[in-house]
Amino acid sequence: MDARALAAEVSRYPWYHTLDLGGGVVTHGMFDHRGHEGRYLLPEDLSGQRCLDVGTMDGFWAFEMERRGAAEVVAVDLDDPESLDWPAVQRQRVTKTMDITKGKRFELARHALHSSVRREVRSVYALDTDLGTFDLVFCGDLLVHLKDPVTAVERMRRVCGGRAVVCNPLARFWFTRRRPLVEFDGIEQFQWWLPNLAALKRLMVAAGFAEVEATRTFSLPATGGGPWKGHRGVVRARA
Amino acid sequence: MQSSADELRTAVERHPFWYHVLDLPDGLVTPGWFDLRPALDRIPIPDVRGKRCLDIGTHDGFFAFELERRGAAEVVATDIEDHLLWDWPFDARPRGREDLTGIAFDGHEKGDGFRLAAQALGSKVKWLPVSVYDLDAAVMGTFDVVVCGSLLLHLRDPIRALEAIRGVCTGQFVSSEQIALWSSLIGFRRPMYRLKGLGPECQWWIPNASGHLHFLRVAGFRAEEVGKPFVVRFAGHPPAPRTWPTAMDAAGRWAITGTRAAGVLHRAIRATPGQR
Repeated sequence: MDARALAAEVSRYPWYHTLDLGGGVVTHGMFDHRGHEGRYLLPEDLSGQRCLDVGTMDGFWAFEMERRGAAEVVAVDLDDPESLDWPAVQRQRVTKTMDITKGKRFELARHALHSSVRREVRSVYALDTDLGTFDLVFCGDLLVHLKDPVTAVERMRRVCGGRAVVCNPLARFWFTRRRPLVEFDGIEQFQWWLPNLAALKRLMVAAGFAEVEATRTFSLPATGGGPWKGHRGVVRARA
Repeated sequence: MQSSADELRTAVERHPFWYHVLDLPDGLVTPGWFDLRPALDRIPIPDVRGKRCLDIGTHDGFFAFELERRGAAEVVATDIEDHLLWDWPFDARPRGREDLTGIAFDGHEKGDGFRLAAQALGSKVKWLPVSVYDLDAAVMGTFDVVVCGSLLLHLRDPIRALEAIRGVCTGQFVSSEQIALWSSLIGFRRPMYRLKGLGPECQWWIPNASGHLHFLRVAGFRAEEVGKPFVVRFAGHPPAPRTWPTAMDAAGRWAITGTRAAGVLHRAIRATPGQR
């Protein structure tokens, strides 16, 4: 596929990740992590490692782990938008365009990047050792969309033989940073638990991870603006 | 020859762990950890006469027996008897039954206390070993009044539990839960939860007052009556250590509830399953 044909294909979809597909073709993603990769606690060199990207969407982090030399990258996601943890009110109300085409977008990007990342349709709640174990499990901005994040993190630990890196939008509480506190939506947005950094770390511990470390929180809002300021944090832990 | 009253007294004394303080016949009172009796006037339980009622996570049966006493036509009480099936956090997860000693009320099965009390009271409450997550109208039918007390904080997925409750509740739901004191005051419009996820108390998300109400809304309930905060009093429960923070908490509870009794701050809400 030449660049023009690729650009035409790319323009058919709404994109979640901004991906540089080469030949000057860049997807116009809802989130652009380019230039911020250094904040995500991923090792520079992943040579020889088996990596898992949980909730891959358009695959930005899966392709990034491959670029860093991973021996094998598996990316899991769900294809059927109805199988996501929608808040009851949202389920009927929301147009799920972004979720309907993600498999196609991933495949298009994978092809353009000549990537050998393997995408599997699998819920985070169903992660199991039939996938083997992974030296690195990455999960970006997924927990906020889950009704039961504890089980999700436990499942990640089940397939993690090394380290896990989890990134999530964060809440801020003016009166404390130390206490693990969480906001909860489940009505207004496709969003459930919104932890502060202490609570994100606690989630990892509650699910059995050890040596939990965290970055400084930072802001990376959506490319299209909107009310959310993009307050985020990243934690890394050992299984 | 021993009278039946003496036999009962002995049985109650011998029972290794009482969770609830219960009034049994002949002036006998179980030495429970928690005394809910003084809190009843702050829990908005509707008229249950002639109604089919459910008490979820009944433990020694305080609410179930209270519903029966108030004239319910039928009361079903559910609980998880086996402590190994609790939603344990990783660090406290028992590796076997012997591991339960020292935690989870020493691992004594909860149903024993309920059965003893039910026998003493001549109760007809039906006790079922069902997890809140597995409540199913196809199996148990539906209920006019459902009560659930101090349970959600022990669940890792409280919304799934509330949705299951909504599935069996056709009338009214009374939810009485622990609320966090200071975040209820500081963020009285903002749903906030303290994440525990550690330790043998097996606690997960402790809501502030607004957070408890929000849980119900998310699960599809409409709040009809929000009770005043109250204290579930410690009876047999060991007192909190006397430190500055616990003294501040006690002062805060006193200010909010008007009682100086030691215990756990709660609020109860009466709700109905709303339209989705």
